[in-house]
Amino acid sequence: MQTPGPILIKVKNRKPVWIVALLSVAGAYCLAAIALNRGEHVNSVWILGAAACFFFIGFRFYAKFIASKVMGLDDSRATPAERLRNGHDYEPTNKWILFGHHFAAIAGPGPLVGPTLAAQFGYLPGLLWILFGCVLAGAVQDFVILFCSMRRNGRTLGAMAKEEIGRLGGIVSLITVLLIMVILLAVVGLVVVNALKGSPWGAFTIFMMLPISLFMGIYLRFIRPGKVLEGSLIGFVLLLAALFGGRMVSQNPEWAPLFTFTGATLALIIIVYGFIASTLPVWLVLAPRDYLATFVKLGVVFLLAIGIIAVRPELSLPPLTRFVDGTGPIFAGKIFPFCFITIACGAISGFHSLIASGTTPKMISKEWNAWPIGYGSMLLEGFVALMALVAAASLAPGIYFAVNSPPGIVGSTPEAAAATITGWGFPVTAGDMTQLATRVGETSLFARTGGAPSLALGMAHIFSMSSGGDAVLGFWYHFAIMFEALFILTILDAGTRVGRFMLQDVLGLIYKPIARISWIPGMLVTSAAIVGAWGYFLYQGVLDPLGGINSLWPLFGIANQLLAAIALCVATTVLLKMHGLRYVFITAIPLAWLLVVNFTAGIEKVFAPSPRLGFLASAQAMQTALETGKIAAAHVAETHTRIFNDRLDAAICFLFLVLVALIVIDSLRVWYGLLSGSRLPKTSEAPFVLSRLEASQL
Amino acid sequence: MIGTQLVSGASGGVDRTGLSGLIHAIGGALVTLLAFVRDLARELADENAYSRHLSWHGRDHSRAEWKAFCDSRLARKYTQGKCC
Repeated sequence: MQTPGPILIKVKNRKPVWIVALLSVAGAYCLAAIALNRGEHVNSVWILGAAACFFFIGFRFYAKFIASKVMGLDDSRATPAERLRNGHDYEPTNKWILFGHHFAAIAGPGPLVGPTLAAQFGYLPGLLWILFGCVLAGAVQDFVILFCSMRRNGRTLGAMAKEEIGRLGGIVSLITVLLIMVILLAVVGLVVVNALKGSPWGAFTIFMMLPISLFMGIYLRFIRPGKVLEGSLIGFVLLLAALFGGRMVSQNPEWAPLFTFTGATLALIIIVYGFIASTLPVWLVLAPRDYLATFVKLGVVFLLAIGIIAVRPELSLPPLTRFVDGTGPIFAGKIFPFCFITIACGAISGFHSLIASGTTPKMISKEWNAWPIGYGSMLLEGFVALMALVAAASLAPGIYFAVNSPPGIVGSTPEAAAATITGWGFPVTAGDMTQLATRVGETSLFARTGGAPSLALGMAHIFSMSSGGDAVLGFWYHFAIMFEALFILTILDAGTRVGRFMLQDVLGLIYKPIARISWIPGMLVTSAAIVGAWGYFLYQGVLDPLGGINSLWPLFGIANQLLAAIALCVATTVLLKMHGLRYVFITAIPLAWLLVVNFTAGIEKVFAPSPRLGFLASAQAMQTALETGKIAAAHVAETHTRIFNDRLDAAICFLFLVLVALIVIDSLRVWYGLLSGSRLPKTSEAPFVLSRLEASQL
Repeated sequence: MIGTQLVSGASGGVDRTGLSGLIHAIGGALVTLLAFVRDLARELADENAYSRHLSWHGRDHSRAEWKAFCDSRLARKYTQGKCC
């Protein structure tokens, strides 16, 4: 006689299989609807449907498999938040509150700008990489690093690299982070400059952020200490007032010229601002604006999701464009590897490993909470990247390329640019662009490279369709620009400050007083050095006739993903020590993929024979032009500078590759030792302590 | 969580069916959601951290206490870069 037991087990096991089957079919159907549709515009609902199915399966099954079988998460094990509770950094926090906190920390401009730029290949490659990259690589990296740090008292990535791999790993991580910071700050600065040049409305609104932040700082310090939500609300109202004020300024013939700047002037203003803001006390400017930026960021992401669901815009860009062959105007390089580099943080970001080994592991109350926080937050970031892709792809292709293409490629006059872009099969006229610029309160939208203006156009298009119509298009466009600039400026301030601390640490080895954070001469010198470093790249990017983004964004993408490779080396080492080869594929496959993509991209950027793609080829082409007298006397000095910049970019790119090669070789040495038995699989995991924390205490 | 307490407290012992039950359930869910949003906002604004700091050290709120908390928390917070 058959007992009911096995039948019950059978029924229990069937449920997930049916869910997987159903969701797989639904996801595949959505993807097929997107990929096989030819000649008709695809509705963005298919993209959201495919993403929802993909991400749900990834989260519910793949991530749960990693959590239970590989990590062995155990809620009876006390986390650092419980064991080391100190009322400051270590504090058990509610799962969903910490989820929001972690998501707010990892979400930046990368997942918004990257997919917008990568739409030059069409929407399909970016979509597929965001889906697969998030589920199999980005979220896995964040989750495993969060787990490793949580089991090691909240250690940082650098400390874990040093402990698990060796001293070299720690040093290489430190240098890589510092270099990435410099490139990152230059590239985000360039995004702001390109969004604000020639735009009195935008410039006025962003300039008003400084007095608003100062007011908030003073309000929170002296007038209503501790009332951060109240102060942020006042700051937000003042920002909206500045946004309306910007419109009035742009329409005033006397005021408008005062706030109309060239790219070079704006770059200098941002450099000076970066220096001042990073040396002022944090409570005065940086912290109040950071609070405000966090709330606005979460609010806008939520609004954009509602807008896309309400409007369900159709994608006007084709699934694949002719530029998959590497001839694209926005950045040079073929779909492989440059699509994967450009999407950046939307699929995998090395920077997330710094957050996952920073504040978050010190606040997790139960080990299983790492599942939604580490893995789930990255999936949400993937959704943000997809929303940015939808916003960009919902623009008419001619407009998308007119906004994002630099004058060095499409021509310096509106008519020439429109003719070039129309010749590619994406019709647009100078008149269309002028009309659109007038509707959003700008003088011109041609050659507004960097991704921010076209993203703002896409967002404004979606927001105005869901409420207000054409009358509020200009408001929403500038609101989107303000939203992007708000947290980019916070990244500039905070990044400069962090770079300064790192430099002070290093220089302190040579001259001790400089390591003291409160020593003013040391603070000024190191701040100037960091601002000078990113300011140099920013200024040269602005002067570059190809728009700067062409060279800086790929450098940033490579650097960021190489940091992810370092994180995955640490994660692979830990998994090898825990289980041998059994589960190593979870991090080793994404690591191998990242190494192939980034080394291919890096080597192409340095050595490719095409001057549009290879830094050295570009420098050589200009050198030859100089030697053969093809450069006018007025441009000789500028050409010498551009030759130097190309060689500098090549050297930095090559340095990234060498640093990561070093850490990979060092990791291989450790892995060989572990597998051959010559090295003991000793981990630095904290010992098991029984948790006494009850759910009701959270 | 505060939101959960509000919902369970409001429904105590009353048998609700049909439309009133549905309205009550939706209302409860909204209250929970709003409580969550408020808690998240307070956490992001460091207000929860400040409350924890006060209760941990057994002190009362004052300008000097906020200043001390703020200086120490922000100094730690901004040794990390903002994510890209």
